[in-house]
Amino acid sequence: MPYPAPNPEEKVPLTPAVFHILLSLADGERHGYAIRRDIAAHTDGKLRLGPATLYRSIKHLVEDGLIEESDVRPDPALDDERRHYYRLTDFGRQVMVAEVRRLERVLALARTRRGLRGLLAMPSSEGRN
Amino acid sequence: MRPQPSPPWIVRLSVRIYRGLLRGTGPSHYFHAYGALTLQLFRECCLDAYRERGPLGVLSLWLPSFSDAIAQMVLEFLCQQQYTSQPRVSVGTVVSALALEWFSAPTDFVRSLMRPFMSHVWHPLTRELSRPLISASRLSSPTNMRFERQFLHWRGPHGWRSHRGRKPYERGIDLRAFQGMPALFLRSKARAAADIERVMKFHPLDVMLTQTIKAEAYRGKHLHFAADVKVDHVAPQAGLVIDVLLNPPEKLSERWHQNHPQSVRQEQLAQGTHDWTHCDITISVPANAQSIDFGLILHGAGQIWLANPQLEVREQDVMQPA
Repeated sequence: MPYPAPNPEEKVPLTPAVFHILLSLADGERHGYAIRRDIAAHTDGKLRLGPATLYRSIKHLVEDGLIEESDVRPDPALDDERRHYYRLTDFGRQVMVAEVRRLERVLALARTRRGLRGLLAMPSSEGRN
Repeated sequence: MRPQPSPPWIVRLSVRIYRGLLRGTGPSHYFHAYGALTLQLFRECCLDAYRERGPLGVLSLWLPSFSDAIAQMVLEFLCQQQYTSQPRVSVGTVVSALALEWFSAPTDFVRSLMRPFMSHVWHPLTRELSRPLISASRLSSPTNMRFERQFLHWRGPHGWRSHRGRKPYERGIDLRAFQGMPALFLRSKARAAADIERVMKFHPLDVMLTQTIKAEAYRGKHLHFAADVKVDHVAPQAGLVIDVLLNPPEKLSERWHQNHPQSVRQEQLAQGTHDWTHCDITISVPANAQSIDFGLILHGAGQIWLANPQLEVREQDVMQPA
């Protein structure tokens, strides 16, 4: 009996930490420190993952098959060779797409609400600054 | 690696405290696998903070980082408990589990001082307290047999004792190990001959990775357990196992314990290295059966994989010799 492929929809919704880790890895391999800095940068410093949160999330993402450790080791002259690099798996990419589509549906739903429609049409306070 | 100057004292102190928190509050399997990476990241955060704001910057990291470490390690511990056969965990069980984890870390000297208390008071007490909870939360039928929910309801490795806080056995899932299907594996961390001898010296017990179900529906029937199994450098033996725990009479006596087994077991064992083989065992479930454990057993060292497990009742099956 063939084993059914895992369903990405079963993994969503993702927690903010997991979502941003996967988002950070969407462009390529990164190590823990680079992931943390990337997340802080693309959330304007609003989400700063603690080291334990980050590596515990990475541990569970590896166990769930969403990311994997890369065999690539940096040049010791350029980088700390103790660093471990991680990358998205195909399944992780599918989960990421499923989550982004879910967020799109939530956003579309929010835009249909009369109480929010006007406010969502205005530029955000961050955009005005 | 580039030569790096020694970090400032405040960074060294912070890292030392952080290491103590990870070791003290978290499960040891996390510390072995990710402790060094977590510490390295924390050290880099401290160095960044030191470059930006000096010692005060590092001190400002203490509260968020230390509380994050404690919270995540406790969550990791609870998450580990969730993957046992007791999905509903009471506060008492959590406290007991945390206490047991603390007690598994100290040195041999401290352990030898605590041994009488542990064997005569603590273990019997926790066993008795947890018995009703375990019984109430046990599964009625096999679940997660294709490992689609990872280790959920698969318990183990169990049956061994830690040596100096180290855990010599580990479990995992190979996602496409058997014809594109995932396979559960159980392995000893020791691979070299000398290490295997050490494992056998300290862990002569049977190490198992099993799922536990209630026996009510299977009493008086023949239960057939089949699966595909692969072994790698197994010494001396490993294979499939069904272990049926029996209900003792209401009034226990030492004489009864001496004359009656507390469980019946069937094993199908292999040794050395061989590729995927279909194995099966059949057991007759006694009328006083309480629960049934089925899964993998490893005597000694090596690695064994389990794929495509099936557990079913066979009304008129021919019993295999034990």
